[in-house]
Amino acid sequence: MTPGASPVTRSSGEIPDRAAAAGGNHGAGMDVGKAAALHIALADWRRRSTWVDMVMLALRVSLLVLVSAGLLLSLAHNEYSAADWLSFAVFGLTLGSIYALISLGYTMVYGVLRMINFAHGDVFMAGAFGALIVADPLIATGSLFAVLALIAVGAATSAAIAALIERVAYRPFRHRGTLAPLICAIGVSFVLQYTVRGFFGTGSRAYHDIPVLDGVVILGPLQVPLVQLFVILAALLAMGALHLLVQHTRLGASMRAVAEDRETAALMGINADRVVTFTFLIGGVMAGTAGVLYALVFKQIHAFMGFAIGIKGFAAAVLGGIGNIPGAMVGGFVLGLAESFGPAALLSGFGIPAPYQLKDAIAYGLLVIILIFRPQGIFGERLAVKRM
Amino acid sequence: MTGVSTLLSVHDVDVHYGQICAVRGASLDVAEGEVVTLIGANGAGKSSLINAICRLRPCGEGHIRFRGQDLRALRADELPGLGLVQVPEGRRVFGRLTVMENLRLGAFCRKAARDELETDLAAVLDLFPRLAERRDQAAGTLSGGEQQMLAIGRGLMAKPAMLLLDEPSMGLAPRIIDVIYGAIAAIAAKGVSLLIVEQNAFLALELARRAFVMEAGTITLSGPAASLVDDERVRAAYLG
Repeated sequence: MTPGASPVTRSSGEIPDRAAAAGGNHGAGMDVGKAAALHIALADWRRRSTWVDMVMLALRVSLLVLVSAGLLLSLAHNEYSAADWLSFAVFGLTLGSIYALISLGYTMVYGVLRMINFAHGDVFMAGAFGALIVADPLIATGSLFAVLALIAVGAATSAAIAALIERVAYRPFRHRGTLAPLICAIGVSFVLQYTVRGFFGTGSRAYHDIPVLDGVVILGPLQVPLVQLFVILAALLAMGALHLLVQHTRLGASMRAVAEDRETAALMGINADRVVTFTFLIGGVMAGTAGVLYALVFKQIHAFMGFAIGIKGFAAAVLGGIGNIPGAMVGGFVLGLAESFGPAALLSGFGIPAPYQLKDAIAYGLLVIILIFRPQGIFGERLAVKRM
Repeated sequence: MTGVSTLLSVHDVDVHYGQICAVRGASLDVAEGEVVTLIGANGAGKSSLINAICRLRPCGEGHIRFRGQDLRALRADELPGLGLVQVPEGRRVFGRLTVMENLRLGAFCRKAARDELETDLAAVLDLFPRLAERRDQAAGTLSGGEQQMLAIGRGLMAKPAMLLLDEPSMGLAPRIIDVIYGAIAAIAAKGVSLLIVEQNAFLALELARRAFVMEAGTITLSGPAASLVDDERVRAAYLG
């Protein structure tokens, strides 16, 4: 039931004739002519659209009304100062950088394998815990270098786990063309969660405070926690490195080639299995980096956090257009900003108590809206033909 | 075939798609530096045979040897390194990658020094000046003829001992086909062995030394190209 598949065929000639008749009516004056043209356009639209188009339009209009009403009411309430809004923006970017890093793993794996790695959220979680093992002695040294080492350990842990999962749980099923890899991904997700729970317990854990990242930076009226700036900067660096890798190296070119046409890539001598392993490795590096950065900002990690945050990363990938690397980065930031601005900007005006509790509703609402109105995502392209 | 060593030899090969048998008992051979064509109508099984040689399709019986090495034990991506490179049917260039990226990927199987690659790149751009004009354009935006030039150039970047060209004239204007076949002749003149798969039998028979004719999955005729051009059956079936 696609909106475009309207059974009504346009009877050619009818509309231009009527438009010409309306346009030719000079004596009635400009306004009447315009009104008539509008009327004809409206009639034309009604004739051509199906009930699906009507429902979609109603959805769009009610959404627009709801959003603008929320926005106006919230602004009228004037509950937040300019500094508040700026700090929402910085926090949104912080959250967004973590989502963006995670979503890259989903989008790259989808690009080369056309598969959603539903265990990716737990790969992220495992990175945070991998770094936890070495956190105490490293943090005790008190240098910024220790923080970088922490990130490196988290990234290495996640990369190793991601590559191992691919080898053990996905590769054997790759040529079967069934739901097996998806079921396997869910199973692997549980294995990771309960393994970490076994080693670290059910409760929340945290790294010790890191003195070099404590404190705030004063930017005009704004006090920004230093750790948030660090997270944004580190994420941007990681994404910049990834971009260089994908766009300007032989390995990156081979990855893009396999994503586009695996068979022809083989004719160039590119071993697709190696490219897939490599894709999981760098997806893991990004997820592990995100895991450590998350732990630095939120100061608590637990064995089951990967599910919800992983779904957010997946949402960010879909938002940007799954399979599209810049799209995943932008999608992550859009989601982070929507989560941090949304409650204050849209919900507080309706008098909802503690709107921040509803930030997940905003994030998933955004995902649903994107899927309804632009299913290919912000940067995605419609695939006219199924690729081989 | 005396005095020259055999580069590629295919003996009694079958290719199946499920229950359907696309190629039955096909045999052919190409000598070092030789140009051979495999002609036949649409659906005769030519591409299936080529893809079986390149290990993109599994094959049943028989053997496939390249320089005496059994290819059936290898994966598709191990062949370019041996010097056996396919230019696939329908061009199959990487549409989102630029022309230069496509060409450099052609050399993926080589561990060549940078200068050597640059020299080879220059040679390819010399052979197809149109590609030089479009070097930073996404390959998907090229015309069909330019994409065919890119596909051949990409194949050459592997420095092949043998190039398998699958339907290099498909869907191209006569003027462009002349350019492409001119380039193919130039490649052959440099000593690269060629196996050209064609529906357009005239062109291929003009260039090739020997030819194999495929019909309904089996090779029905073979011999020197010059004699096949005059063969009544070939004339009737392909040359009109």
